[in-house]
Amino acid sequence: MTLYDELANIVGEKYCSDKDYICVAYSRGLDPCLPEIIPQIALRPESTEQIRQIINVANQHKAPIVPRGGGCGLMGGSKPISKECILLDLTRMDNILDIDEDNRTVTVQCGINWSRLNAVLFDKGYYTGNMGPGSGLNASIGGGLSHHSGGGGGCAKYGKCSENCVGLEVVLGTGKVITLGSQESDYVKKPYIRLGSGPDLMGIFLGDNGTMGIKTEATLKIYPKPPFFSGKTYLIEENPYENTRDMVLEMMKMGWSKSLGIYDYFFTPPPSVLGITTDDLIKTWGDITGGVIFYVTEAYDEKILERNSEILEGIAKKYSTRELGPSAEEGNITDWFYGEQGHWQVYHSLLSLTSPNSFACTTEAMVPIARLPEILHMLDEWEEEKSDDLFEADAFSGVSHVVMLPQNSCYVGGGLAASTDEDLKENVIELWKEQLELLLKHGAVLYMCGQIGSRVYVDSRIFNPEFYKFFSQVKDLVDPNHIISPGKFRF
Amino acid sequence: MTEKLKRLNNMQDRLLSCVSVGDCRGALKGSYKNPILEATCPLRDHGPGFEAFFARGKFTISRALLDGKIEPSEGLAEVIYQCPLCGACREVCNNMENPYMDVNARKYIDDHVEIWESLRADLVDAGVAPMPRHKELFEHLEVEHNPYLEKHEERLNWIPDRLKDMGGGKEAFFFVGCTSAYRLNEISSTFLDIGKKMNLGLNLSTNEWCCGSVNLRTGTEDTFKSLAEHNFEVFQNSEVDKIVTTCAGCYRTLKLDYPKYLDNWEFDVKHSIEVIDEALNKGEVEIKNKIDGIITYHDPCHLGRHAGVYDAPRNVIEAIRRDEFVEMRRNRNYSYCCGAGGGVKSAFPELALEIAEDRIKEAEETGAKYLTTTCPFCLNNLRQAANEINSPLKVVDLLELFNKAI
Repeated sequence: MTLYDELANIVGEKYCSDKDYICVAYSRGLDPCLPEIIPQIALRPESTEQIRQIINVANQHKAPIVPRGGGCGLMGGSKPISKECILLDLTRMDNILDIDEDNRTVTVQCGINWSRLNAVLFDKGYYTGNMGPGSGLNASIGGGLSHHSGGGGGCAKYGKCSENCVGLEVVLGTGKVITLGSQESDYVKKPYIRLGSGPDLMGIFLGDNGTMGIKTEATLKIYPKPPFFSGKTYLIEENPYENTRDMVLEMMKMGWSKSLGIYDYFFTPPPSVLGITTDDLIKTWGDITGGVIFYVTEAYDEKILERNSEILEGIAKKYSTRELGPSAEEGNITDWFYGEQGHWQVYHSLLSLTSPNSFACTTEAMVPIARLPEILHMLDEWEEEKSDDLFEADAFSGVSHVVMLPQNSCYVGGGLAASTDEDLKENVIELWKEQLELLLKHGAVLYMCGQIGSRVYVDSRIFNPEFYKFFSQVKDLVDPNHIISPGKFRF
Repeated sequence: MTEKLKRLNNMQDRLLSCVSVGDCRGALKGSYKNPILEATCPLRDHGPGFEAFFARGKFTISRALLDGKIEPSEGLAEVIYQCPLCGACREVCNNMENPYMDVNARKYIDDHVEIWESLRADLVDAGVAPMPRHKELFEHLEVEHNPYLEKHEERLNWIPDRLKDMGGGKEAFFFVGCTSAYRLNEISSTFLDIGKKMNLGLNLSTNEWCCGSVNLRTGTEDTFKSLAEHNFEVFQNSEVDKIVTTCAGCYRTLKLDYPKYLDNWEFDVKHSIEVIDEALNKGEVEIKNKIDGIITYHDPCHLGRHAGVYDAPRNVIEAIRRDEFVEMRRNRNYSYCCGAGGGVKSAFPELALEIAEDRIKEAEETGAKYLTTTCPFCLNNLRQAANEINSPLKVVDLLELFNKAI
């Protein structure tokens, strides 16, 4: 039997295709710069058992597999690397298996997206806290866990989505199925906690960029959705990088989310503000210049919300020029994003700002908040140094947003906005790699690596050699034929 | 690049504007203050569900066609024609729903449905479309001017004897449409009844041909043009300047498409429910018998998302109801399609029915006695689906309830 026949036997003809017009649609992610390669076969399995069988067939044929959830990866995470690959579209595995209100967990098939899951949870008064990646709620839970995603809401309070995972089922490259978290014990009937029973082996599969196995089921913490929220937006004209850092550090000293209920805190650097105002994305910002911060605080009690808002306002005023608001009409965008129809996708829209003339080559990195000004200045200087190269490549560099995390660090989201000219793509990719390398060599860590970032880690010798050796040995153990996501991390 | 893809070729900027975030598959709407709902593409939960079936995938396919990475084929057409052209993708795409915020991509991409129709027309030009069933229907349509395999001369046979004296009015041309003329006669005769009671002065013509919606949606543009030109002449000869129709599909076509193809088009096109709403507003009609039982309403895509008519049917329900009006979770611009549009009902009847069954279940959640709508095409599909799953819902055209109320 051919590879196609064997795979079609597993999932059924309806959900298996080698037609070019089906497969070509998987050649693209949210990273239009990287090569668009058409996979040889696209599959939509519905169960862990089907995936187990697919892995066995792929091993027999030595056929590479690329798992794909919502296809929202910004760095080539869910795109085929070679035309020989089997594209595993996991979105058919979108069932909610259990909502356990006593244990405050939800167990899902990993192909479900953040949107569908939260629509159901909201009906019961819950949410996932971290609402998924900024690239879109169409992203899947499996994809989020593979990339430590955040930015779609709730990062300041709930951290990265992988921090909220307490149970995970994975099909390894060997075809074996393992469960991680409390269910590592045969006597635990339902997953409820990640740590225990020895070392945290679940961590091998979180942030793995889809290289260590196929995530099939996950259990996430869920949280009662607080009924009260308030948000403020401030303009910072003087030293916006330093003032933002100082404002955040002072808010952290006062307890941040734990005491003040901060749900989200975003900083938009001056160049990004300029882009937003130039393109009229937020008309009420007019022609302001400077950086903009906004935060959202939520509470279960209205009086507590009032008290927290007052404390936060006092701190924010110290470090800012003026408030934008309080109404949406006056520039306070938080009320819109969190209160009405923004559905938490605060910077989702920036991805669509540059089209059709440019596309985004995204660099997503985590840095300590204390070092945020240094990193941002360094990126500004790099842009200045590279102005000729950027001009040649018809590209712009910049940080679009910074998302605060709960403890001591933040996501820095930026990269290049580059021309869609095919002839310039190679130059753009080189600049993109250079910027990633720069960030990494200044101590940043990428939370999403995808194709391009994972290769920069290896090619630029960012990993400690002993670590990379160990990482490779783990890969050999869980996927001896390297059939899952080959090419990432140079595996 | 081939000349065969001339329409897509003229839309390159629009195609490049899709950055592939994928909200078109299903997007969470609402937040702290607004009700949460998931606006979804009907093909997410029905059919094979590959990327190629969603807007994002179709943008990639369109670019691949233009780049010569793939060629037009009958297999590709079969994918593209499973879309009911409901426009849910357009509604969620970078829709900030905020007067103070605007995203370029939304402006550039503009109307997704127009792009899918252009893709279909290009596939027809390439000789790989429409679907075999469409071809059969259109062969008949060329001769008898309707896609129901009926004779043109029987187009007005539905008029009941008691209303035979109607149809010579001078106020508005009543464009019956093929579905009401040949299948759901109760809608056309009910509206004629209403016309008599409200003295609407309706004008009927035996020369009315299919509006051409089915041709435009399935890419057979030339046939559409000849139908439109014929009907234009009929309207001009009728010596009225207003056209009323009970069909959401005809309404969209006459109101939005005819002006694009016909020079000097100046007719005022109204859906029957808009005419009734206006009359209620002016106090020209009296509600005598309020309707018992909870009512819900299905927004036809052609009337709602495509033409923006959301309030008129709701105002009419408000006027006639004795009990509650309960919205379905997905309503107005985020309404879920019934699955029949875009040629899906004729070419992929099982798919259309599956989608409609979902909508029936959603309507049942409201506890309604009546599921109302304002499109015979939706009505037909929803009714079949209700029968299929033994739903207790009474699926009716809103005109029928209104007629009972006056």
